[in-house]
Amino acid sequence: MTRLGGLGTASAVLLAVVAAVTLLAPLMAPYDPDFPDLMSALSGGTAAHPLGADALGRDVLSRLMYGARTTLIGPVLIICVSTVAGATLAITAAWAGGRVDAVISRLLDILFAVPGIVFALVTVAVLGPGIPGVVTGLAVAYTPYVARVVRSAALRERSLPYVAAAWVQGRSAFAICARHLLPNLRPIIVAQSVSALGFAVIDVAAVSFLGLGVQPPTADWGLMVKSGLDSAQRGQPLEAVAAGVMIALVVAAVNVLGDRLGRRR
Amino acid sequence: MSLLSIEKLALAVPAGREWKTLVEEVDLTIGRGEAVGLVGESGSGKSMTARAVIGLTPPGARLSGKILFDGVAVPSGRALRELRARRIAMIFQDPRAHINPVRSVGDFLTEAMVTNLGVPAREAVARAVRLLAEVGIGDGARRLRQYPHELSGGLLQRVMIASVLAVEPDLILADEPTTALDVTTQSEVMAILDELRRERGMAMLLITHDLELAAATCDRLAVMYAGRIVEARPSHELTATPLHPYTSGLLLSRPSLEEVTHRLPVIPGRPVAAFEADPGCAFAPRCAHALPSCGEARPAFDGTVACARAADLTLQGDS
Amino acid sequence: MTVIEAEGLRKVYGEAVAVQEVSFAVEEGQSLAIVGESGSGKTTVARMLLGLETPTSGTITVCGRPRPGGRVSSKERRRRAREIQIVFQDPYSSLDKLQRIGDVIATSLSLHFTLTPAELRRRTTELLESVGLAERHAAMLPKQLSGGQRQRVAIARAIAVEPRVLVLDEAVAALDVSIQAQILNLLADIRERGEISYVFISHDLAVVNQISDTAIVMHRGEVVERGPTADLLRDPKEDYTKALLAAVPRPGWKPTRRNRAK
Repeated sequence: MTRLGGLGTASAVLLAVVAAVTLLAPLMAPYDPDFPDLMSALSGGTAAHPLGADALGRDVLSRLMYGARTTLIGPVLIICVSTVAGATLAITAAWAGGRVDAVISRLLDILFAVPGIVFALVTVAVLGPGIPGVVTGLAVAYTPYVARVVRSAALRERSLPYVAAAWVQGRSAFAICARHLLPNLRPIIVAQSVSALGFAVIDVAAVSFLGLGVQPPTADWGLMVKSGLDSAQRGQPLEAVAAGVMIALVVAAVNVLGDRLGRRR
Repeated sequence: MSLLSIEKLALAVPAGREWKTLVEEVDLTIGRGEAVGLVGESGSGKSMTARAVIGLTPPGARLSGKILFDGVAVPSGRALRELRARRIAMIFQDPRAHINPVRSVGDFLTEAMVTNLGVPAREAVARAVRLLAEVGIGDGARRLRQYPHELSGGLLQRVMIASVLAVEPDLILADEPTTALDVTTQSEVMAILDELRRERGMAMLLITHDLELAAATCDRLAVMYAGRIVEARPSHELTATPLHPYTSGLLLSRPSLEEVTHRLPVIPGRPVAAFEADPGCAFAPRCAHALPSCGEARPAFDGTVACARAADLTLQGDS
Repeated sequence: MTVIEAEGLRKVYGEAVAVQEVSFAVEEGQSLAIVGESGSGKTTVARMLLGLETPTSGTITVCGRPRPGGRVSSKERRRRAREIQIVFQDPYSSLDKLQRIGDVIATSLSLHFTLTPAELRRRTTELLESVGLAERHAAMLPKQLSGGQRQRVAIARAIAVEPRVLVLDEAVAALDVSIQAQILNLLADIRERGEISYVFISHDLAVVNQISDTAIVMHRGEVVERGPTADLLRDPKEDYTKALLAAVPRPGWKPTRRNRAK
């Protein structure tokens, strides 16, 4: 842990706590996140509702805890899919070189040029609002983010003599890529995908905020910022602030961690 | 009085909570106009010794001992920069890493003359062309407009030498100046360095792993092993009748152009750094002549050799 | 028997001709040196022999079988691996830094031979010992070994498949003088033990003298002189070979400059 530094360790702890809460929300949350306690609506912080209740009287703290799931599961899925796709494309391009590399690289350049939100809008238009559409679109959008960095690292690694030695020994291209290149590239892949996770959290929250992602009444941080804005106009900003702060904290922690993991190389 | 005198130099670098000793008990002197070769394998501390002279030690390094240049302790800070700019110059193994790639050869050569010596810019250019001619680069005016990436390693090393000549320092520290070059280029670059150094009466400390190269271009040689000098003598004496088993081993294990031996006489094991060495003679574990007592006390360097058995051994040299 | 026959090799990269009209043959058990400086094309020749580069024109015949360029099946590559292997210059990057030494050798063995786990372990240890390492090195990672030890591992990996020819591309150039001698002796021992031929690529004439029977001297992509190594070094005919020889530091040698511009 010393290698991560103070800030890095703090980030890792924060993310671990968030992950634990995400899993244990049903045990830890003080209320059912969907139970409307109309008496407490827009109450602000009280002993019963530490972070207040929203316009429908639902407990904000409970909704934050449950919302972590829907808010984070999307980005995590996006990063898993785009990392696997990106690393595969990158290593294939670096290994094959020539025309294959040229085609893959151009494709990645094109994907990179289009903002992720635009992809999400397109897939949501096709698949309908909700997590599947958002994840599909953003997974495609995030693929070049991992692939471009990994490709250049893979090109460097591929030029090392040990790779030529393995080839001369008669090892298959797949074995060399899977047994030698992939393990050696792992630190770069991990660092890159962790820092992409930060952006994915923001993008997914943004799509939900636009009303195209998670649908109400499901608890979600992006949606909470949105509904919280209405509450704020009615004099009670706590819901929007709490959800916004959580998004900011998670994104910051993920970025710090990605940076520290990348630096260790 | 010698130009450079190093006494009891020791250098250690921090490694976690411990200190790793790289150089210890090094005594070395260089007279005015004299060329001294500092020879050793990897980890011997030869480079660190040279770098210590001009304060180019790794960050956090702990240095002790005395380094006197022209009778005065080598200063630090501004005065050290002054010394480096005018009186001690260094030539590195990889010239490309020590020349700013986005500035032209002309900028590189004239900058030191203009800022350090106060030569007018126009005259500096003329002098740069003359210097390039001296190092065997004929079309100087064109070369001055070129950039480092347009020049081969051999040409760039000659530009480096020209830049040293521009300030005419009293001492040149040459750290493996030809190791990255081809053999024919090495011969040429060493010849240029040797000739121009003698003409101008500049002293040189040549750091190299190549005993024969050092013997051919230096007046005296010092052989380093595990951070210490094990033998220091005039070049032809050291190579003809080595006193330290390591020196002899280095000379013999190098294959020869004239004859082929069935098996080369080898020094077993691998070279160690000072911090890896056992308490006794650092070379004892690899030495064919070692006695049990060699592993107990570290032999002191008497100005010529550091070997407990030097007096009773007759060792083979290269002739 | 001729194990390698290269005929009229030529390699062109865009406009630049790296190698042209290079022909040579290596007999079984023989050691051929390819001598040259940087840019001579010697490494390109080595890479073509191993199929790491495809010649622009010319033919390579290994163990009587021609080797056309282009794609070949994995099975054919494994067969070719048994004929020719290589040891590279840099002992640091020629091993995968994450792979344990024992696995380096075992992977090589299991790719080419059907062995039981016990046989595999025994053979791995044998090979490590045959290059002067010990069983305990098998569990180590490359970073725990010195440069000379890593080069020994690279040699063990190459001879594990029992090739007919071993190409050594500046294989001792990056090593300390005292280690260089150890590796040269090891290579001499390996050649005495079996019917292996060497193609020894080097810029170092003293090393070439020690390890090769015949030599070709390359300059700017072409062969300028060839012959038995002893004759070539005692009585060079070509100016380039003479210049190369004159540049080697040795007792009584002085560096010389070719010309001094005025």
